[in-house]
Amino acid sequence: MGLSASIVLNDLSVTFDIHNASSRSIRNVILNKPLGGLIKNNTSTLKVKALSNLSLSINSGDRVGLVGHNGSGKSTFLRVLSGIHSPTSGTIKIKGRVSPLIDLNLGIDPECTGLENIRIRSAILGIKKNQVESYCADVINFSGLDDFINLPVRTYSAGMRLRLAFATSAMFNPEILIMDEWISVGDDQFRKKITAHLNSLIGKSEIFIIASHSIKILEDSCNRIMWFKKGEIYRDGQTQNVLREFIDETKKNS
Amino acid sequence: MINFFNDIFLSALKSYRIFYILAFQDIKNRYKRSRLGLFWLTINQAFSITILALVFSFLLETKIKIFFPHLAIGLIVWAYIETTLIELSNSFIESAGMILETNVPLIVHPIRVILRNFIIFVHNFLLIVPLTVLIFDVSVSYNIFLLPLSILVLTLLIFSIGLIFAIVNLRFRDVNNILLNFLKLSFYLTPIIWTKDIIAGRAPDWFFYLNPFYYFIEIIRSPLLGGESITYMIFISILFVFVFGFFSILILSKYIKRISYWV
Repeated sequence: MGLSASIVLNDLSVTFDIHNASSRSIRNVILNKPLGGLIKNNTSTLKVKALSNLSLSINSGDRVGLVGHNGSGKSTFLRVLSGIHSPTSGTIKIKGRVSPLIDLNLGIDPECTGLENIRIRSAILGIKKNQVESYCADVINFSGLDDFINLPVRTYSAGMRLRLAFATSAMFNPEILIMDEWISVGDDQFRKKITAHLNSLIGKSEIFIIASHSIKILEDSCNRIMWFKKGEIYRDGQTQNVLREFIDETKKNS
Repeated sequence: MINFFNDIFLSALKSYRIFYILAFQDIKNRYKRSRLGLFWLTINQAFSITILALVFSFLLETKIKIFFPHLAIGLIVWAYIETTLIELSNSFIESAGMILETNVPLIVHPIRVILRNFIIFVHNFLLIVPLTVLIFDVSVSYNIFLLPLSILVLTLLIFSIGLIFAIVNLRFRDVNNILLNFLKLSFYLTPIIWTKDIIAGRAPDWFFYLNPFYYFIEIIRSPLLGGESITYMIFISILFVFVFGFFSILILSKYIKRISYWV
């Protein structure tokens, strides 16, 4: 694997149109809170600028942490990087395969058995046909669900469901790994297993991007921090420097 | 636009395993805890055909021998058109979770819907139609060789019309209800629970020839009932496929980037 993955953004913006709301009242509600993006009101539709004019590049070897208030644009940014949202203006160029680990429960159908869920997920992840069997074996092995794998997921306990969800989403070799919050589920033992597995995934990935509210996780796993404020990148730099400033400001406000 | 069509087509081909597995899982799930499974669909369909055939052949004073096959095929085709159009118009909305959390190509969601409905249609068709033809001793015309073509054209038609509704419905959620009522109206305006002969002389010819649903049903029903040549009807239907196909690709190319924001 040559080091080649990269992400380049040029003047990228994302604007949401909110159609199904009485614009005035929503505007009032959002403007009175300290969170959220810049909000413009053009005639009847309400426009929310979730990301504005971002220009940056992320290169192989970067472990990027995203910090900022709720609604500052972190999740939208992750969705743009994952190829889910297209920019409203500006461009994004991505080299390398992106693996988003945004919502684990997605695609887990309670009526299907564990094994059926694994097969559905294998198709969604684009696993090649001759590798499906070994993928299934890996997932079953990692989840530790044994015979339960042939029962419908609705019969699982919450903990078992999470084991399945994590195992189906995280058995791959990522080039660009994207996470919305650090995944930490299950009992103590399984959590340790997850942490070890995630660390090895991050180690194998060329680019790793995570949005998190936990300072410790960001310190441990990132070498670059982007601080989002109202859809713009307020600071972008080395972990220690940016985090120190971020912590200071958070303390001042609280 | 041709480039866009190629892109869509290629991404659909590449992700065939996704919609294939999802469509089959949909069908499997729907009847998972029942013993007869998919056969319930066919039983339900056959049951309502029989009831309607008995009631309407009595009311309209037609021979059941002629009316039953007419109704059976008409209803099966209509159910395919109606259910698929409505499910297609909701196809992006229903997959909102998957659209917002994975980078699966968007065209997968409508294809999943058309595929599962196609499977159900073929299943019902193959079980009910040959039986009807046998029991009521219908003389099938040689046009029956056109049936696979007719079914393909019908499926493409439903898909291209449904795709337009899928996108418009995202932005204007009322569209689904308008479509629902429009289809309800069309059901009664199209000769399904009545025949052309019954209202002969009471309605002008253009009443049939301006109703596109008439052609969509007739290209499948007519060959099975030994009807007249359907070549011109297939041509008209293919024309519809091109017109609606063109518009659906146009709309899709224009708005595909907005879909993730609208779901």
